[in-house]
Amino acid sequence: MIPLTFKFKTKNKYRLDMSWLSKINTSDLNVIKNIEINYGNGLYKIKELFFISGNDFNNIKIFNSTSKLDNIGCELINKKITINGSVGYGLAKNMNSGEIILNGNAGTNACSGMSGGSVFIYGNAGDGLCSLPTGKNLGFVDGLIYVQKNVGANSIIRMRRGNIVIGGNIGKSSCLELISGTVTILGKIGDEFCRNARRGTIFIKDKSITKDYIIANNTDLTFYNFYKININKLIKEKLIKTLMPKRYFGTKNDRELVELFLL
Amino acid sequence: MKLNGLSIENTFAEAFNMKASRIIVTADNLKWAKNACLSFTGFATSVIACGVEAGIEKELKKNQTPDGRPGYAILLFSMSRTQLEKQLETRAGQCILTCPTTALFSGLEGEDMIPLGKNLKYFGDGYQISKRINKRRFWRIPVMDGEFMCEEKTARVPAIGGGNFLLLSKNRESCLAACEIAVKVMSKIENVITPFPGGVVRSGSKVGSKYKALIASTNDAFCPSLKGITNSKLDKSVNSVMEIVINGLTKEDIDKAIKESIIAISKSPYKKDILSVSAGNYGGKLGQYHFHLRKILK
Repeated sequence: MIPLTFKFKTKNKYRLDMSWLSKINTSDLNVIKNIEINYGNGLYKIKELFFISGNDFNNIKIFNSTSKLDNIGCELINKKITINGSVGYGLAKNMNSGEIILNGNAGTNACSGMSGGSVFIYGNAGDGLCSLPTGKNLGFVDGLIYVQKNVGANSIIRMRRGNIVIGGNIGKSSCLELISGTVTILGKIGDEFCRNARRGTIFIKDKSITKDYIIANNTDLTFYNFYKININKLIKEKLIKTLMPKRYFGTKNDRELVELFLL
Repeated sequence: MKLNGLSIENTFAEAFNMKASRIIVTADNLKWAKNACLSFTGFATSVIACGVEAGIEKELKKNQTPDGRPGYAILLFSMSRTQLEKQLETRAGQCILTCPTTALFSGLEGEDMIPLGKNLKYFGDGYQISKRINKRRFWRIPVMDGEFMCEEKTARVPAIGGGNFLLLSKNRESCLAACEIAVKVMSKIENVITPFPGGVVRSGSKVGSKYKALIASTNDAFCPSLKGITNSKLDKSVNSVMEIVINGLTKEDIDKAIKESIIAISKSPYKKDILSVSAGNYGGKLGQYHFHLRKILK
């Protein structure tokens, strides 16, 4: 089986809403080629904008992607999308299941409202990663997100469960109103981090964050080793190496049960 | 039929449909993982009175467990879903949660899921923490040595219980030694357990009893001490009979266990005292699976 491949024909002048990609439910290449989409002020058939080939309709590859391709993987269910190049806003918005691999940078509001599946961003992610989607109450419900480099401000809002791993820095006002789930941030962390959080587990390297938290006893926790093994396996990189991190549990100012591991 | 000089009777073992589950118990070292497993699988020899049949299936190395610590896999078999759920939960709560350094994980994947740590979490009194990784949910329950980690659910799969064979021997010493060889061989085979103490049964049973309250009683046809006064199936020279009961996830697993263990006995020095290998059945009317010894050993 050859992955269904889309290659942009020309240099794209206008933004292009790619949400149709997740909704493909045909196994006829001609049907896909003739789907009509808006581009600029006109209505175009997909074959007029992309070179299309392949026969594996659950394994999609996009080449020559640019930051003007928006909403790739929006509401995705059980498909794999591999993207070479950057993408615009709304990557994996409201995604349910499947896998997205992005070899480039993601624009704003990536993974907003995601409720399952895995997203691997081998680059940076813009502001509002896992931000609240319109009309919804949770920014990230479940799944796995790995961002190899940096993430912008106002990210990870009202996370419910699942795992997020960020290899670089994260901007200000992130992890707000954290409900649960596990976040790992290996770079520097912006101001106003984790405000009004209720529960959740956060692995950090930025020591400045720990000042507001209560240091816990140095006990052996099965979970840490378990998490280290499994998350390294899932993201296919040995990012977490610390043998015995320092643990903080609960904030000094209120009774919230946020757990912090200093790697 | 003779196998390396060992006589194999033309008979079959009769086995039953059961439901099984596998759990993985890990700990800081094998000693404590074993302590938990022995406790968990204690009093789990027969569904007749124990509710569940359980045994240690295999030892697991660090790289085979979810948390990178050594451990063991346990298989549990039961006739009903309710019993399996109840026994799993009770035993996990009393024998694994209580044992220092241990953690508990599911060892099977499937669609039919039963609770593992789902209710144990309440021991955490509100301080328990839920974690979901790769579509599986885990619970972290604070305990005095740190925390007890357990998976929320494990799978339940169809399985077979009651595969067996009998060793008819001139004396008890050789009979037991041959059984030990068989059990040792089976302990290296995946997907099977021998739930009885040391893997060997000396009190094989028949269905029913002269006493109305009992559903099973001693298998007098195979009791050497009753030769002459009962409808015995034993030769004059048989002075000891022992049975090995095998539960497995599939028919092929039990076939393999029977075959490899009888071959091992036939190559052992004790075979000179083993007069024949037989099997326990109920005339073929009760069990859904028949394990014909000669067919398996062909």
